[in-house]
Amino acid sequence: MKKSERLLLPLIIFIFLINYHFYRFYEKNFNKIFKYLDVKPSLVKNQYEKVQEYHPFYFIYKAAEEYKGKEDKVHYFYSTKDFENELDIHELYVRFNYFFYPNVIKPVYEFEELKKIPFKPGDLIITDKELIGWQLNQKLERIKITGVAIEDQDYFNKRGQPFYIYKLL
Amino acid sequence: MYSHLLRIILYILFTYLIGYNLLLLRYKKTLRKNNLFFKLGLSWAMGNLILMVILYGLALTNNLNLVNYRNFSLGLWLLILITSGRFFKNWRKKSAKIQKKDWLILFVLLLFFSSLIKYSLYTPLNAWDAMAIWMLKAKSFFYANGVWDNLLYKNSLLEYSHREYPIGLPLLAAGYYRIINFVNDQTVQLYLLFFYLNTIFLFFGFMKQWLSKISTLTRTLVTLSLFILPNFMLYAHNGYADMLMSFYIAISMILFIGLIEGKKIKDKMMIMELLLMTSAAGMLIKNEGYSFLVIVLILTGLVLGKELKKISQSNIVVSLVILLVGLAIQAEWKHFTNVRGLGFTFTGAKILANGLPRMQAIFNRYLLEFLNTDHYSLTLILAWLIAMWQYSYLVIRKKFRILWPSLIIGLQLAAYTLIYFISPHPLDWQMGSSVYRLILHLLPALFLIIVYQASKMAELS
Repeated sequence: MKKSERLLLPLIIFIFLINYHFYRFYEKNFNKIFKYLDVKPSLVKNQYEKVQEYHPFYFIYKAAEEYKGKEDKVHYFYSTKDFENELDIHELYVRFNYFFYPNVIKPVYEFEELKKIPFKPGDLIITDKELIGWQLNQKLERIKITGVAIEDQDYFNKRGQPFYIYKLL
Repeated sequence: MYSHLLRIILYILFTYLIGYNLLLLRYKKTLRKNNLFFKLGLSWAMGNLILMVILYGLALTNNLNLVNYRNFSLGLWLLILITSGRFFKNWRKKSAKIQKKDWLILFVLLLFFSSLIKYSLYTPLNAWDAMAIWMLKAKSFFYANGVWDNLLYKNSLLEYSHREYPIGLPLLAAGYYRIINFVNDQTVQLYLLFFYLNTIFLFFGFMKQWLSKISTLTRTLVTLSLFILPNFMLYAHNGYADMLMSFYIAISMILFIGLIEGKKIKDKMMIMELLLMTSAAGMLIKNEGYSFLVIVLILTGLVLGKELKKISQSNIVVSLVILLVGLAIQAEWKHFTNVRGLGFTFTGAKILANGLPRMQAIFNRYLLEFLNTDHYSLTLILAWLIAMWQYSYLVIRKKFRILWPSLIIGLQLAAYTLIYFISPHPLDWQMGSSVYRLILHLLPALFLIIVYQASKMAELS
């Protein structure tokens, strides 16, 4: 090692330690998910379903799986749609379309429109709005929203705005 | 029954082998001169480019059904046989043995990033643009055999997915989905992570080549310090296309430096061909790739100057083939977007009346980003200070040729600035959601330039 390099080495180590401090934050987040899921790499076993349980929008994924082929029973109520601003898209809508693809379900934008739908028992309403207490023609129950509690969500996989899933009784 | 994990490893191996074998066909000499890290990076770059070209061709002709496990296995076995044959033929040669230390360092680097590798494999996909744009398209190419019968390009409810964007990343991911016959948006992230890892390999290899006198310990520490920045962590594998752009800009930068520093005209022409390919790859990934290709083409022409007259016939043929393939893909893609009426990303762009304050706001936002220690720790500030000192030194010494690579970064940043300047979208929203990703494109290239300039300054002093 040259003399000039020996002189620079403490500075390089110092910068490395500062940057590692940032990296350590992410490493801790990485470990959080493994602790929660308890998955071990396997060359023979697929663990997609198990890992997906950690998704902050897990129940949207689950609904897309359970209602495969029965998409007419799924309704999306997009109450916060801003028609003036095309750039303003609710994160739930993005996840909803992703999980339900190749089915693209047309959203309902007005509560009056929603009320007119002839719901059947077992139908699903996915929405960005709290519906309990609103006058829908049928009774509904709220389904548990996420597989992982918000406080347990890691830095990368956190949920922002609230969303709701209801099943018609 | 093999798991998706095993198949993503095989898909990664497949990509490396395609690239490596293609390089051996014509660029054996260029490859032999370089270290393991550069070989890995270049093989990865070429492998992905070839895959993207093939997948683009299949998607534009509605033939993606040809991508399946059977055809993939056949291709993989063939590549393994060819590569093994080459390996056994050459294994006694000295060049194959001297790389033991490099393999050890490679292992140490992978070990350091083991938790990130594990995270990329076992994390649900959730990032905004990944689900809204890139991986939604990947999913669409799993269900459709191409662009023409693809629901995503027909349904106006999915307009927010920027359907006119290039489809390189979605096609690479869809290729894997088709091999496993399942949309596994978790394990595919390992594939995306390899663009990040290969950028690190390239940087380490470049340091080894240009700062050969410094110790491996220093080299490793510097590499790790630069590439564990929060901005890299965020985009290393989350389904965004930005790390792919960073990788191709970085490898193009290395090749461009090789072009400037090359001694023999024959070697330079080979590097020029490779540079043409790596810089063209960007336009298959993101719109920013178009400006990058134009900048590289112009600067390459200027750097080579009169030497271009000495170009051989084979170089002309290969360069023309590369350009024609690129043009054919672009022409067919533009034809498709016109037929579907998908528009143009910058529709409505114009020079606004408030030009001067807008430009001021753009520069203020850049400055804020350069000083953002949450994204870059102290590194970007330090990198700029070092670069500025190097520029002053080189200008005073009138060593303008060494400054050529910096022009690529400068002009690319100017192109981004122009887009912000004429964009019809609100500036706050557009810069707030993209400036850190654009900086990410140029960051590895900036680090490479600093290493190159440091090496040249050491020679001068």
